Amino acid sequence: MKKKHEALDIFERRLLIISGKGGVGKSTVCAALALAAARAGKQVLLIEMDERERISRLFGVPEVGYEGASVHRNIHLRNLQPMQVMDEFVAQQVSVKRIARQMVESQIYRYFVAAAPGLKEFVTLGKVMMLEAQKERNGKAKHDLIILDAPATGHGVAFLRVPFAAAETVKMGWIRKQADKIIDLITDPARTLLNIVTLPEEMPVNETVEMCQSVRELLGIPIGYIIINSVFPRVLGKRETALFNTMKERVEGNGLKKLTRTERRIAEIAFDCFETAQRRRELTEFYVSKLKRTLDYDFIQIPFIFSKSFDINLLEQVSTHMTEALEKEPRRHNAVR
Amino acid sequence: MLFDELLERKEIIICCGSGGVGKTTTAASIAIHAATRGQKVMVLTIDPAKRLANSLGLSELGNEERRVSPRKFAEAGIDPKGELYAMMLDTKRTFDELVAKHSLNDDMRDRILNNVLYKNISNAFAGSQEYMAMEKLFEIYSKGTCDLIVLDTPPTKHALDFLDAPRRMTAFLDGSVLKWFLKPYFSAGKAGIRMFQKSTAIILRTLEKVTGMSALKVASDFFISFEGMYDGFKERAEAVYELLRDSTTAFVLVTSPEDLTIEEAIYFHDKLVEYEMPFCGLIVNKVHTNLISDSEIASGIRPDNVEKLAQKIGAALGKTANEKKAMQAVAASLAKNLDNFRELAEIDMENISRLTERIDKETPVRIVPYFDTDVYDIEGLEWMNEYVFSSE
Repeated sequence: MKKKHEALDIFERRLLIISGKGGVGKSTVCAALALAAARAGKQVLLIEMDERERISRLFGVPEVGYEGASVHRNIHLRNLQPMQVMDEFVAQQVSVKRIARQMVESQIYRYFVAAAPGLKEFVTLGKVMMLEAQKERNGKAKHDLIILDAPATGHGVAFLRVPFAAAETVKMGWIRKQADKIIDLITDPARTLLNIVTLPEEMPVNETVEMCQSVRELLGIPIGYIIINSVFPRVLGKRETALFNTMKERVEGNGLKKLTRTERRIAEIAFDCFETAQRRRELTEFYVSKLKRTLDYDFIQIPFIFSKSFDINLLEQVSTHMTEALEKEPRRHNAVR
Repeated sequence: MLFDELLERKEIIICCGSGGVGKTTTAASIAIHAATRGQKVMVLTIDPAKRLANSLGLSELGNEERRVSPRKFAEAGIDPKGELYAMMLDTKRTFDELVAKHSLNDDMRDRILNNVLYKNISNAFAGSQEYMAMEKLFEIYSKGTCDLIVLDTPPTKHALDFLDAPRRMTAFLDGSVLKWFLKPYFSAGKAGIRMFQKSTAIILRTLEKVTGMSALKVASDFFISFEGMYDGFKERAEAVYELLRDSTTAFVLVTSPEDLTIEEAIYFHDKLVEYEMPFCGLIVNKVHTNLISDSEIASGIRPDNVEKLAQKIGAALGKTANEKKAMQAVAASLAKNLDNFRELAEIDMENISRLTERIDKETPVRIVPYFDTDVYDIEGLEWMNEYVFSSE
């Protein structure tokens, strides 16, 4: 039992940031991770920040919007669109409602938000930090765990670099204080882990390696797991593959002559199809081993799923894989590297 | 219209779509095909994978056109009748060149190039990469030295970012509203703030609190320096926008068949139509295709009894009872695998049809199968072209 508890230590953190380029299945991983954490008994706040919501679709519920909604037992999902966070922030700063509204609607404000690069992202991270600090009346944290689906920007770490850039350029005042607090939170390995989602393919693997380098060298955010999505399974084991080869030889030596022509054709397709799967598996293995060779982190592999477009059942399946992987491969690393 | 006809009738092909769907690879393969047929082609890429960049002879240096050497084609067994050039976009440099071009004098140019706000905008501002991709496209097109330009677009998350980039950026650069506020603010010093209405004063104070005084100063300097340049930028952006909508341009939407990606492609497609952009074709990459053809299924080759068949195969091939049993188990795994692939093919086709339902029947749709090896050299790209340019 103790081992199991240790294995799921990532759920003992406060904030899990999930990062990765577009198209790697980041939203799916976030949703599945939230399910796994909820199953482990955590109250999860799941956050995405997107003009078009993706995670609500995965849970099969209507869009949840800014305030969010409960999408599953123990999972509250919110979509914190940066511009809305910004507007909310202004409303808090300017106590007169009429003026706040005037301001948010004014062109100069829109310009300013656009002109100050990273301001929106900065305020959004500030909001996440505030949510992390929320307490119930009894002093207990309102959310056991926050899972953040970080926006897939052109350059992987651009979003996370914002508070560091702010701290560099602004030496004092509100911005600086806020930046320091955000940096404190996201660089604290006891509270935060950054997890990177990738695919066993050329571009995603290269980008992940680059991303880990910049996170380690420039930001010092503790990295939890590298999550490799869509790992194509091995169809046959070693001994079975040897047997397959013998079978193939015998087929070529007319071993299936007793079968009808139709049956022979289907057999041929099944043999070809296995070889296709085998090549795909080899390609997958090549990229998985490249990742493992290059990066000294812990990995979770999520198998490729042969099934219909995502629904809650599949999400459960992925999340079960994740729990198993977390239990089987507890993190070796607990310190910042 | 077929894809082959697109190459003949159009002068610009823009490959657009979400990230990770093989846009760069698709753009490169279209360009290779056009060059092979005899056209003088330029492919403008944004962020190619290393091996693809190598295949195209692109080094780390951006913004320089390189001819893809005929030797690279020869290695793939192709004797191109035309010429292929490749270029990797350097957003910052393109922006700097644009500023230099529109500056009235060197002093004005340097003031802008050294402004912190400008540096941020030209490097990392949302939309600047899209804007500069368009700008570079316009520049190459205006030179008129190529028969065809194929543009690979940045992995934009939102279709709007991409289509609006030139306009949105120039609207921003205009900054007349901001200038109107800032000019008296800075000329009159802090006391000048009293001249404003109460609400404006609150706005400015709040902005100051959030961004720090220097940000306002930098912004003000930037917009004041930019004043004389704005008309040139605006005219240019209008011209770029017109070029995108011109009948010599073709937008080719690239996607993969996953559920969420198809949703994004649908959104992208609808936006292209809404903006009256010439949407001319759809390419779906990484598709699991049916292994058993329709005609085979029609002639009775049905895969629904594969498990029984697996028993037969094992029995026929095994020499001893034990071997028969082991081979039956292997054959059963093969049958299961075949079944998995059939299901994948079905899911992919279902997802794709959600998109194709919305597309006009005349528009060509091409399905490129999932390759079980990486595609990165000219030979591989030509192989992909068999699917894109097939006449079927």
